[in-house]
Amino acid sequence: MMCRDVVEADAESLTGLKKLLYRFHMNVCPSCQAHQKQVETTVATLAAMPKDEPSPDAREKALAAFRKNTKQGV
Amino acid sequence: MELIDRLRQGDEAAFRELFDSHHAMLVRLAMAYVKNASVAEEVAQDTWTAVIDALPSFEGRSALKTWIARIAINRAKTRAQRDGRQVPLDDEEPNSQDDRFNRIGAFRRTPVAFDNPEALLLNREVRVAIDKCLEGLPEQQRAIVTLRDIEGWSSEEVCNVLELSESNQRVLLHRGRGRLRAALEAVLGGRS
Repeated sequence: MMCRDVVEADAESLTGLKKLLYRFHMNVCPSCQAHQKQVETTVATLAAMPKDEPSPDAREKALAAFRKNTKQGV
Repeated sequence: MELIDRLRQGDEAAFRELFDSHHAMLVRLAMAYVKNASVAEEVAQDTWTAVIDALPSFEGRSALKTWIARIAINRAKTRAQRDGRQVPLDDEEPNSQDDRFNRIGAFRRTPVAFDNPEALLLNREVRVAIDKCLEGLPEQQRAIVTLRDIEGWSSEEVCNVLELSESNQRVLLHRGRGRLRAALEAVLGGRS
């Protein structure tokens, strides 16, 4: 198993010998470890992205629809 | 009292809580299917109207948020179809970035280390690269990355809402993350 195979593999789906080869390669290859770290940082960066607050206008529109529906009997 | 019961009783505070918890997620999710943020906002608004109308018939067979997300996805797909939006197919192979590997498939050079996420997000180029990459992802990849990595949903929740098998979801997530990693590497090059 070479770096390209390791990088393209879906690690969780590997079984048997392929899983062993993957783990061995990851343990000894600094480049694949660095690649894995890049992926982990990418995922952490996505998680850390600022979340937009809903606009007051959008909230008010939805609340108005809720009120209207409630009056009509939800 | 459960949120759903409060909503059915017309509790406005409960609805506000629901809206504040999920509206931004609905807009981001809709962006996987429609052409721009303002259309995604319209889809999210339509979703709330549909949710309000359908609250009496919500049976609780799925979590409230997955039920709402499924309504949003259906609305977004309908809207995209109406607008004639073309998106890449989900089974498209990812860019294999052959130039990173030598003839036998080993890395030519060790990938650079990225800064920590907080530092990366201070870099405008990084934020632009993420947005642009997300925009270019096939719709299912984008929906999966949005829900798993941005919204922090579990694999099971994402499979439920997108009606995907666990393995299919994992493969698409792997591809989506791979493209985003490559987008960051392209921006950061050797200087991170």
